[in-house]
Amino acid sequence: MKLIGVLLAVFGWLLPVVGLGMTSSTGARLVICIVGIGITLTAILRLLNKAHEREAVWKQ
Amino acid sequence: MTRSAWLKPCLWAAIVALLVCGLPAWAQSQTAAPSAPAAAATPPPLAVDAPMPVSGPSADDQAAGDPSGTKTGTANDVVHADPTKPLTLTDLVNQAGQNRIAINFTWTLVTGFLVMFMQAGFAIVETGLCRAKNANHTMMMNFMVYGFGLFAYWVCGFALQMGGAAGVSILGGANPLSHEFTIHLLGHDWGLWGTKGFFLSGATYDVGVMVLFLFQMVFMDTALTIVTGAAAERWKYVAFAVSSVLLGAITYPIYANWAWGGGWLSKLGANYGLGAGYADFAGSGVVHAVGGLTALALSMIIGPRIGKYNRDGSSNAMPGHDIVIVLTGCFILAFGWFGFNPGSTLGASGALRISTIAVDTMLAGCTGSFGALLYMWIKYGKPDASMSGNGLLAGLVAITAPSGYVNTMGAVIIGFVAGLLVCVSVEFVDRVLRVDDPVGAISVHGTNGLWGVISVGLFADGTNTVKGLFYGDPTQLVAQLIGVGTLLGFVFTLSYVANLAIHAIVGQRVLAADELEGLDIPEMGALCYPEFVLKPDTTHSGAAASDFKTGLQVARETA
Repeated sequence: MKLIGVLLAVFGWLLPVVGLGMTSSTGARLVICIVGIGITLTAILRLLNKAHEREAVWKQ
Repeated sequence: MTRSAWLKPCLWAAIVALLVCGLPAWAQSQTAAPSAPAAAATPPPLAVDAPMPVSGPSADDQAAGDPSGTKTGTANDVVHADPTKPLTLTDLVNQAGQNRIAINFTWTLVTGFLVMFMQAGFAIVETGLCRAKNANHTMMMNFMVYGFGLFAYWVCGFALQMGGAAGVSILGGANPLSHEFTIHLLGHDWGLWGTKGFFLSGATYDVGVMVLFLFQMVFMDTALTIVTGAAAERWKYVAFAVSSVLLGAITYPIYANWAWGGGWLSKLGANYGLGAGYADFAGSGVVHAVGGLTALALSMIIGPRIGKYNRDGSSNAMPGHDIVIVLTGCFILAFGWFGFNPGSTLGASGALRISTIAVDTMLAGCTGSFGALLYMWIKYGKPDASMSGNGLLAGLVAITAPSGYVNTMGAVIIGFVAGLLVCVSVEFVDRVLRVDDPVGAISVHGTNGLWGVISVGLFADGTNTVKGLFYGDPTQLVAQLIGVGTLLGFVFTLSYVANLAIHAIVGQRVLAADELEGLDIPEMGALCYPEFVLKPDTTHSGAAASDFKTGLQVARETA
């Protein structure tokens, strides 16, 4: 779960960076950026956080 | 003789007099007119080494004293290249250049000293928001993070960040910082890190480089000290030391290079037509979001304090022990921020926008505290002190990136939104994510650091090279969002992986028994308040006694 979370977070960052070369449309770049940030946030706040929450001291 | 006979000779005499006096004047004006263009023609070349007939007060005059100040700071004080010869134009021009750089050196150093003093503000804010049994430990983290960070930054952090940043003309060039490691990808050059300035040795033993080092170093240390607050009351001291060195040596410098050291983010404008490229004037992203996101990564790894959450996932408030030092620390930080933002011009001569930046800074801090105060007052019925302090800091964090680019109305809005945002974010982190952050560092610096970066793309008014969406340029917002994505996807991930590795090797968290006792004795060997009677774990309001016992039981099981 942690590994998937890390990989997905990096993917969410690279998506808009690579997307810069794929289109010159400002609107399209804006959408790609928002999608990328959404993926990264999901990876961090859902996958990684949940993985650690399972090990939290108050759950044991 | 009749009257007419008198008048006639007089009239003739007047006409003759006029002609005698007026004709030469008229002739002079006629000849002078054509000579005007000749005077405007190319002036003769200045003999730069020709002696200039200027002199200041005599030695006798000066020996008599100068109560009015008119005899001090004269031609006598201009440095002569050759003291045996009179002053030359070269001497004057050199003196003017030296004065400009001296003003900028002085400005940058003094504002850097202000930023350094923010360490004291962070230290007492964080300590005040922690429980008394951990006060020594929290203070010692804030105290030593300065040294750990500074040393790491001297060894390699500065070189990675600024090693390719030559051309800082406002500080005389800093030309020894002359090489950036770059890869060619997707048709463009991508600057990744600098390679000059390790140990500040070689050609980087340079006065301009030293100014830049001092100023950038105190910024880096601000990022490091953010993390200590989020992980307070349970962070093992040795893990803190290693983690801080890694952040100061690698994570922070790499992102700072991309934004400020000539790296790829700063070139998004030139390479991809995205406004002026990623713009982060004083570091909402580079400093605060880097610190805040590292704090989030560490808090997730290290887990919440014992007693913070009940078995059903509901959270208990764990108030700090001294609101007086919390709010005093906020004032110290607000004062230091006048170094943080206006100082980021790196000079005063040729950078008179420092006045606007300072006013923007104070306004955003003010409206940030308004926003938080109103939110808490309306929602919970009381104007909460610690959240008002956090609101002030949130406004200051948010205005840090846009302070060089926005007008006062923009600053007021940015600050107010930050004040609201910090309250919402604290609740979200605490209740939804269940990530324990004793001082609210993730929300103050992480969330509002990201908001500050985005706000540049919205509110920049175009008066200082950067223009945002509300002033007609949507491409700048794209550049800012790529910066946000990089902070989340790269900085968070790198910090997370690095701290996970530290966790695996030395362990990030103290023993549960030590945590319950308080970290002052187990970790530091001395209590901060030896004459106080401490009441462990009974101070969190809203927690029933049964919850506290549950915390103890959990601790014993874990130990």
